Amino acid sequence: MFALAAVALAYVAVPLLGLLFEVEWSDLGEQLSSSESLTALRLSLMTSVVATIAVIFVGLPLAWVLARVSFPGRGFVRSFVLLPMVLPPVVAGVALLAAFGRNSAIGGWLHDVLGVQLTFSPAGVVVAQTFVAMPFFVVAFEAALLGRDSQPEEVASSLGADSWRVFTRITFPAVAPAFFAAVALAWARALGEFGATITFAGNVAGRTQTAPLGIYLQLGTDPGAATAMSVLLLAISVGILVGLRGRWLVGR
Amino acid sequence: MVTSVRSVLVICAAGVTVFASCSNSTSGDAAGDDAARITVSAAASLTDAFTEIAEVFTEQQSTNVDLNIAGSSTLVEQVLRGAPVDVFASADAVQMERLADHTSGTPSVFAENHLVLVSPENGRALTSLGDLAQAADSGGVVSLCEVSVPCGRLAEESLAAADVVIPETRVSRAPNVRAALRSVVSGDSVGGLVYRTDSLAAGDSVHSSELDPELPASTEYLIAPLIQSEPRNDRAAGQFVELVLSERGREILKSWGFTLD
Repeated sequence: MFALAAVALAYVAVPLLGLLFEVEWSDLGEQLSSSESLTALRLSLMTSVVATIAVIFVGLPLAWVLARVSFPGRGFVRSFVLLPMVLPPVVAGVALLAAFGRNSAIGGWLHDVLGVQLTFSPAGVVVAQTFVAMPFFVVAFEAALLGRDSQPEEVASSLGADSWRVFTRITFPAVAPAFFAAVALAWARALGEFGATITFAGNVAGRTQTAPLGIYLQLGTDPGAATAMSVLLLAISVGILVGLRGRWLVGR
Repeated sequence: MVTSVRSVLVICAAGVTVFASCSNSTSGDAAGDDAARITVSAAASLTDAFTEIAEVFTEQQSTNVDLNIAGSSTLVEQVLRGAPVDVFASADAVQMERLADHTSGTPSVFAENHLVLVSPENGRALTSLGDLAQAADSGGVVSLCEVSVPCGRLAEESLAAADVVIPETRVSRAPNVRAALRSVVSGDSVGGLVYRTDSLAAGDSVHSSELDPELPASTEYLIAPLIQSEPRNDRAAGQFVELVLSERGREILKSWGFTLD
């Protein structure tokens, strides 16, 4: 058992160590402060934060409904919203193109009536990130809600509190740590999004070229900068994990 | 625990044996040429033509061809990092030169291609790079290849030679020429620069117009067998290159829109 476990550990560690060996540490700051890298990083931060807010805004009610309301087809809905999690990201991009591209019904209407084009726009990046990140939040937060006894809520309702009041005063405080963990997962997924973004939103510097796309592009023109940016994203990922473990998943 | 560690070692050993026997069978040493196969790395714009040429080759030589398709610069990167490739077909001389130490013999030019201007069929046809810049200025996005692949380099050089500037925030850099074409076909971008062969493949779904012939928008495709540490495929690699350069190969390339002298 130990031998195979060691293989699994090495499997994760070796490529990441390779990255750390490849990077030119002395040039790291310079590589990362090039205007191309900074533009991509800034865009990544902005779009992933907006996407995460969108995920919370609609994903939280969805997780609550799935956990607390019994309705026919609930199992189906639950599996359905998880689909983007297992879908190849490039397929997500193709699906988004089919739904919101210029020659689709919705995309055509958005463009002709509202003058909005999602493809090649930062809004398109947010749409792609929201699509792929949503299930991560929903599945994590719903699990937390399900793992809780609903008796206090029932008592509160019987005393006349409406469902919003019950949620904000009783449910949320109890599941807040799981909520932040779910948010972190969704944000990390949005930040790392590549396949759906390049397929649906394209690769426009300053508008849709997020950090992962910048890495991919620079690999052909400036491998040093690509490695430097990869290390930075690796550091952010490690930061997220440390935060999750340190604060919310203690003892697991 | 000791027993379980030991049993794992046995499983590992079994796995290694299986892998080893697999790799023996693919190299087809004494078993004959039935299992012979070569790996051909070809530029993305050659996809259709080389798929057809590979079929002909398999028929003629009973050697299977594994086509490895990507942008030329990615293919070069793979070889430089040790990928076992028998033949390399590059979309320009720049990328072929990067493998100068890996090719056996002088690379041969086997086809030419050039960039054309494409725009969505439901819009106004663009006829010059100036038109393209104007379409970008009025709020559209232009699709080009990323600069590390030949079609992207040609696009950059042609725009520079024509003194046309399109702001970076109005250019989407597609990872390969087919991705750039797709955005134009769907109308998501207002226009783009793709190879003539790709615009032909798109047929009536795009407006297509030739660029000023003075612009540096054409490229020569080169092919060469690569030196292998294990020389088992040398002969087949040479034969594949011969087929590409033969009358049969030329006909196939022409039928897909490549220019040959």
